[in-house]
Amino acid sequence: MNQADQVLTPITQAINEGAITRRELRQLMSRSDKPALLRLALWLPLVFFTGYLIHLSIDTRWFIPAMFVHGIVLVHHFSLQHECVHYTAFKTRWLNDLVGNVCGLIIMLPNRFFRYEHCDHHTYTQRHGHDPEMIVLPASVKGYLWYLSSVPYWRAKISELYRHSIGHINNAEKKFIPKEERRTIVLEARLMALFYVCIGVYSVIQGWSAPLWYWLVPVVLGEPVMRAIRMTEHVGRPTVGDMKVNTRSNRVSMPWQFLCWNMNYHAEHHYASSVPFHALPLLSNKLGSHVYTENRGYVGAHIDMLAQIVGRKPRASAG
Amino acid sequence: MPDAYEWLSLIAVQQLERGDITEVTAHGRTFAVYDTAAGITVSDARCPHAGANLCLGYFDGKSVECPLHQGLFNATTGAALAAPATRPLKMIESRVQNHTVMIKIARPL
Repeated sequence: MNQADQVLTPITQAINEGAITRRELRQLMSRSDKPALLRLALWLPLVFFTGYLIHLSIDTRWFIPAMFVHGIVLVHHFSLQHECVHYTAFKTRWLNDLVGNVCGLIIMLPNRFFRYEHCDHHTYTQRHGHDPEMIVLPASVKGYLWYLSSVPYWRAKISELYRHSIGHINNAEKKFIPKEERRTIVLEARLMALFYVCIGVYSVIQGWSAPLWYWLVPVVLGEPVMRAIRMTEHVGRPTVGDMKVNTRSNRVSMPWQFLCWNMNYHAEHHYASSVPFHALPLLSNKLGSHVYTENRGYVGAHIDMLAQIVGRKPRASAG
Repeated sequence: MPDAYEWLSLIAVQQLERGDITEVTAHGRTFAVYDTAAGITVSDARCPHAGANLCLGYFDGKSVECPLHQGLFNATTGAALAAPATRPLKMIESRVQNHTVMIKIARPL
């Protein structure tokens, strides 16, 4: 590999620029099962607790707020699944696959498919037509609210699951799913769809409404929060390949950081996606101003996006 | 007929990162030298999936993980062990002679 044809990944860029050394990176990349298991030991009681709040609020005016709070926790299974598709949640690789698939069932995101899609997101971050996860800065406040409603998201995810279940991988997906993996992606979608159908049929036959009130409705209510968080990662940042500017990290309070498995350190994560969630704060200290950080947190990121949408500041672009 | 391959010096064993990957640029190419539990092995430094530099990947003494997409390769055989890697890593035949890692590569025509 000559210097000229070397692929410049973000971490290569950071090392070339002296932001971090290979030795420091090696320490940060160290894997362990313990941090994720410890966090899960807090996570699972939290899920049961917020679910119990729904139970307590039945027939009260707190029913919908309780489902919303539970939903916020449930949609954050995305953050754990995200860590699992990078194989950085646990040192034991099969644990990442197991937990990632469970999270995927909770939020309807097939794990294997997400892994492939997410690979291209890391290769082509913020590049129009290439980044399969790119959320374009909305053209208007109406478009911004429409995205946050999660209607476009669910429409895309449900049609995606249906298409894959009937064996159809579209041309955009063929770019990141290798030929030899397409059958696995279809099988995964079919198994996921079958799981939902079984739950649905069983619920109807048995008159079992718990999945609706403790799972599906909360996830739908909570998804706008996840959409809002996901927007803070790249939306409104320049649509260029340079990781110094195309990704936004957010300083957030401890509860949010706990929920998102430290993924608020998003720019750091993009710099070195092999660094596990528990080492991201250390990586952040190391990279410092090498990455773009929004110190006002999620709210500040949305103020920035809205300022661009209403024209109070220039829209971030490829230029 | 002369041998189409030749053994070339790559790096002194003493200069290797213990239990880790050492990046070596020599003979016009960049190589990843692994200090594995089973001995020293050498591969092309480029990931066969998307071309990232494997020398910056996570290495556990047996397998190397691509720093960009976390594809996994056996650092001794080069076998692709986990998605998105589907093609094996290009391993370079190597040996240690006189405390130096040697590699066998094709002679330029």
